[in-house]
Amino acid sequence: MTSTVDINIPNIEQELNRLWKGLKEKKLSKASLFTLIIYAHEPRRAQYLQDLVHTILEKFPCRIIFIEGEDTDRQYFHVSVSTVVSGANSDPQNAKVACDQITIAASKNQLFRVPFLITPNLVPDLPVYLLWGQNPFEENVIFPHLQPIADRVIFDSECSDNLSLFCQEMKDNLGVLSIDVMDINWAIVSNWRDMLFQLFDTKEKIEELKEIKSIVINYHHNATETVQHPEIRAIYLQGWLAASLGWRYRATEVFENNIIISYFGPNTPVVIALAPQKCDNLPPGGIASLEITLTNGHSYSIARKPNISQVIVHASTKDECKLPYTIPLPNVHRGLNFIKEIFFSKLGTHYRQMLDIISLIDYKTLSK
Amino acid sequence: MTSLAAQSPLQEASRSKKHIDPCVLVIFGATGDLTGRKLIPAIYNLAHEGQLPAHFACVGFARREKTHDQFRQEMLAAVNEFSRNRPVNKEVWDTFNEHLFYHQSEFDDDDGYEKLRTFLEQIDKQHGTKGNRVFYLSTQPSYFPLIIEKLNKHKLTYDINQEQEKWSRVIIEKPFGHDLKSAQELQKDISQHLDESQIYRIDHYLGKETVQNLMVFRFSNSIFEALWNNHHVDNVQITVSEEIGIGTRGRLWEEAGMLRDIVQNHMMQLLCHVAMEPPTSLKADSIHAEKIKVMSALRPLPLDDITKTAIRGQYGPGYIDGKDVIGYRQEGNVDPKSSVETYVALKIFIDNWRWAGVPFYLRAGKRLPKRVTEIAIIFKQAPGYLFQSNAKGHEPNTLVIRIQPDEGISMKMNCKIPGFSSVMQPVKMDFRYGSYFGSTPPEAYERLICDCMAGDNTLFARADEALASWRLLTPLLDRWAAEKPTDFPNYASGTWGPKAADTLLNNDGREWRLI
Repeated sequence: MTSTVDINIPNIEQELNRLWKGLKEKKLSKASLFTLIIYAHEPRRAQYLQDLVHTILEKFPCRIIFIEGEDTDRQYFHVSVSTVVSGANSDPQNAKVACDQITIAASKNQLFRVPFLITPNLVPDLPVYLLWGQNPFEENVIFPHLQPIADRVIFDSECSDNLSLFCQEMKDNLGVLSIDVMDINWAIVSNWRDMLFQLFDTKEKIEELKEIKSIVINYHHNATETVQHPEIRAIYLQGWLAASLGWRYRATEVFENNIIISYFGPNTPVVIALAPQKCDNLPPGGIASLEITLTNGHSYSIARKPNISQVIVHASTKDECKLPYTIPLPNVHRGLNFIKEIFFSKLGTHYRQMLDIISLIDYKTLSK
Repeated sequence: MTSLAAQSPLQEASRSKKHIDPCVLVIFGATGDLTGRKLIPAIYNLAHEGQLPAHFACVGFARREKTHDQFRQEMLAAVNEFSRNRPVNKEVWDTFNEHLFYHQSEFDDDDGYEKLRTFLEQIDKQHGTKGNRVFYLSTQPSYFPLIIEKLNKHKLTYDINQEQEKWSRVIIEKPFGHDLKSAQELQKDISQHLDESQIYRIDHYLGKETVQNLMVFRFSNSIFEALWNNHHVDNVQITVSEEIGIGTRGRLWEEAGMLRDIVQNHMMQLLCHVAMEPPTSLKADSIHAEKIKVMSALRPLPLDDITKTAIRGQYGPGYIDGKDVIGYRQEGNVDPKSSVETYVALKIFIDNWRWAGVPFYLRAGKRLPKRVTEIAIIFKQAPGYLFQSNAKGHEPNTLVIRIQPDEGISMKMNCKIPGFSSVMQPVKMDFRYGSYFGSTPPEAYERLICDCMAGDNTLFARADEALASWRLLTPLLDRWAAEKPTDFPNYASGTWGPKAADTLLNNDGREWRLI
């Protein structure tokens, strides 16, 4: 990345060109596949979103417009530009690609200026993606202006303090939005969803799904300044299972730091425990393992293998323990898998059904 | 057999990931070059990317005595050398290793197949592979009928009508026969034991990202498809050029030659993809149907004056990258008077509405100046009267689809040089996969093995396609066999082939594209 240059607003293109000329000797090509507009409403999430941008840039060159909003009474509006190199991890022999980044920092009372700055700086003809670090249904200054020109908005449910409310709002608004929508945390649990689909891959196992009695989901609970709701992915995963398997929501409680969610299953009540753990090899909120128990005593213990994109499955019945086996668990935090999930996957009925379930959870219970 | 995927409540219709049933992949010819260089690295990469099914095993089948551990060690060394994911990830390999086995047997030994069946049943029990089988025949083609017969005899493959709970598929490497008659006989032999839907004729060119992109490029971009016909296209040039010689393949090459090794399969498939009509859907049958229509419309090569449509060549000594290299006849296991071709240039016409009158020039050669595979669509010249004084700069638009290396697409157009005069200069718009999407797209074999396990034969050649290609080229092979060349070697290593290949185009007022 070049050093960031604070500039006068009318000079954006001129400054970007100047930076670009300064890089001529580095044998870079300039390219963009799309414009990525990021809105970080809270400073605590700005770094997380900045890291996401780096992950995206490793694979796809794009023009970045990063907006940092702030809820203060100060009055300011700063614009800076820089040039970043895409494909940082790619083959060194391959030509490197450089991309433009425009950073806008604005106080709350100046945010209204932002859309007018963005509009002339989009890459013509190519898609516009919004990575939104705030509940967009609460934001009414920038988002309404950008929605008509954007192709997709990617939400960050971590930015909402009340997940149930967020799910309710998503449910109400999904049909209203005229653009594609993706939810980062839904995208990030896609590997666990695919893995469970692969695990229950025979007639007998599909039948077993109806006999689930309890599930324990262990997740890395390490609330940080950046991630304040590490339970979200575990809640999504259980919500998806409940919705897919037709369970009816019953109650939520917190017991000894575990979140206990109970359902009426087709044949039996189902209890799900979300158990916080310390797993330093995982990002905050990362799911470490699942333990599934059936009514007949059969069980599946599924644990992520450290430093590897696999889980190891121990299946056992009352009488025998089967040989453990592995199933792929692609890393969706980085690389092409992440890109595919957030930019190209579509939200389908499973997501909507999951929202139905989670919006029933009394989220306030969890924060007590 | 209906996939269970559709029955699972955990499957979401909008997720496009292909469902792959549990299965065992058995590689015949497991000690061969292809297994170490391509197949095992491809399977390892699938494991690395999380694309293999949860219940999977791979068994190498070959004649040499070897333990499981010896085979695993050799394959680890091969993956370390040839995988696109290097260095090998120890954890991924350790898991993969537990699913990798070796089975020693002669290809004609009944007892060996019987033991294989028992061994696979044991793997089914231990690894949950459910009796599903993929057999990859990476052997000399002469073994194909024998192996398929033995697989059938020992119930390793299943009758298609009884494939309810489990399935079997066979991947066949090229070449599929060595002329029309042998291909028909081979097809007759294997169809006694297998249904066409169980046979996967692999052509690794079809697994390449750019070739797959060709359909997207043509049929999702209206501007190009509108120009993709004889009103706008002057000619099409397909080039498969290699700077390497035949290496250690002397014995094989003496029986094959360039027409059989590259043109009959890879180049004819590329031709089909360029020339076919839009399929009615992206399903395998629709795409195969369009390809076979192209094959059926190929004009037979006129044998009365063959040099006007087909040129053959053989490389002599010369220079590659500034270094001396020997000629074909000096290579190991090659007849010093060999008349086998290492270069082919063809002019082909497709007699249908879209392509009437447009020549398709194909050239493939060994020991040419550089390695490149590409398809060039050369458009007709714009009426030139406005820029006649700039005739030199006024070149036809050319769309180039580069298949390897540097996969991508470029478009050449004319542009005015800045200044007071109206001098023109051709310029290029260039799209490179490596720059936009990272430098390591999946290897062709990864995609193809994965597709076969998923039961998708879209990217494999169907029997009628292979036979149609032989139907076009066998008369030429016969003619060349009957008339020994008198001028071999007729091109020096490091040059773009024999002079006659240039003449082939010059006679039409055209030139090979400068690559």
